[in-house]
Amino acid sequence: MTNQLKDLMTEAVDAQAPYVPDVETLVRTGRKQVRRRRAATAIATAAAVAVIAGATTIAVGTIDRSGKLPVAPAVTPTTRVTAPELSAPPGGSTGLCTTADGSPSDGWLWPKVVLYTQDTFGMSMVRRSPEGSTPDADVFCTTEWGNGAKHSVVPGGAKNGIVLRKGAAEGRGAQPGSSVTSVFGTVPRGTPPHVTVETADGYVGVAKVKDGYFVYRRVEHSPWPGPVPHAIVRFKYAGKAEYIAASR
Amino acid sequence: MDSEAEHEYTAFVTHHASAMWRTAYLLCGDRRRAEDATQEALLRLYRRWPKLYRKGGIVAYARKVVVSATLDGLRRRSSSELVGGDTYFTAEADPTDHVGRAERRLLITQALAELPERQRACVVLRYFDDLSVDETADVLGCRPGTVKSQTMRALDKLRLHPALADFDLAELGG
Repeated sequence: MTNQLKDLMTEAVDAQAPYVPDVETLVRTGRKQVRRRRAATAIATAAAVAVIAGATTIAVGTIDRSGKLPVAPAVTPTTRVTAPELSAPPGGSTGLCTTADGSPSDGWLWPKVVLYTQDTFGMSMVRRSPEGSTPDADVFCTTEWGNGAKHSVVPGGAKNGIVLRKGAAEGRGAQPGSSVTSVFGTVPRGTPPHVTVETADGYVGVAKVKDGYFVYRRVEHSPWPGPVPHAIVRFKYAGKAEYIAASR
Repeated sequence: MDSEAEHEYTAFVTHHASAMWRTAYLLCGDRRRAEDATQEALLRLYRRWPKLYRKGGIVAYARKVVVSATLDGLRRRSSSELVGGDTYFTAEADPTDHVGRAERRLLITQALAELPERQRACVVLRYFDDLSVDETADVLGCRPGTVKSQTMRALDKLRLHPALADFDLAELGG
């Protein structure tokens, strides 16, 4: 049957006039298509590079690479303190670091970042002391746009295990009356818990956890400068109920 | 593409375009559509020629592309349209040809046209292009088991096709 099938099909095709391609036209059209595709690829690549470069500029712009010493505010555990005016250039950024007890620190220059989280307005991070890793020595830092850092408020010290910081939300996309809340803290060593943070607006977000620390950052509707909003930190270990680890 | 590669491409087209068109023609049953599909496949081949020329496998790739272009062309048409329609293989019937030969062509091609496209592709690739099950699976982008089952179903349908049921297959091949 199959041989007969082949014969039938061959017979049917042979009855047609043979196909003779126009090779010159094919090659000419092929060259045109290749040129057009290369041009399109080049344009697309250039556009992608431009977008990536723009995004990188925005992200990198939030990190102070000037080598200037950061200005750390003098703080007390119970009062809100107005920081000295910062000398960051317009559009640039600066970093504010304190230890867990609120002491100012020059940790902004320490090269090792334990963990960080970021949004379009800046970053919140934990930097490791060159002396070694201890919760007392490592520092909690936030970057802020130079334009918005003139009246930074750094609430002093850790309270109930939370370092809470409010910063300006300035730059592209900033809404009037909004500010950035950063929440830092420590988690027990070993198997880390799942950490969530409930901010004053009722939103519950997931914090980043690494090497004994957690860090969380959220843009809230809370005028800047103004009172520092509260936050509740909850830990959840696998197979166990979630519990409030700290609140402030 | 440098001139040497382009020269090789030209030689390939000269020697293989006709075979590609024959496969396309059996798949779609329309001379013009087969030409369009072959041309599209040859242009795709041109764009990838430098890489294929270095790596090899040009013929297999060409076959895969022409099958894909032909089947894509069929899918773009109305789904209710019968492949080849009323003119399937009949437009160029040779009036001087022996009546029996013309009728045979008509019958087999009508039977092919009524197969689903995947089954038709399996029959054409397996029994016209003489590809193995694995090669056919590679061209169609499916598993060898699928090729086997689709081919079996297609052959069953062809055997039972009313146009071929009364046909004296023994007289074919002459």
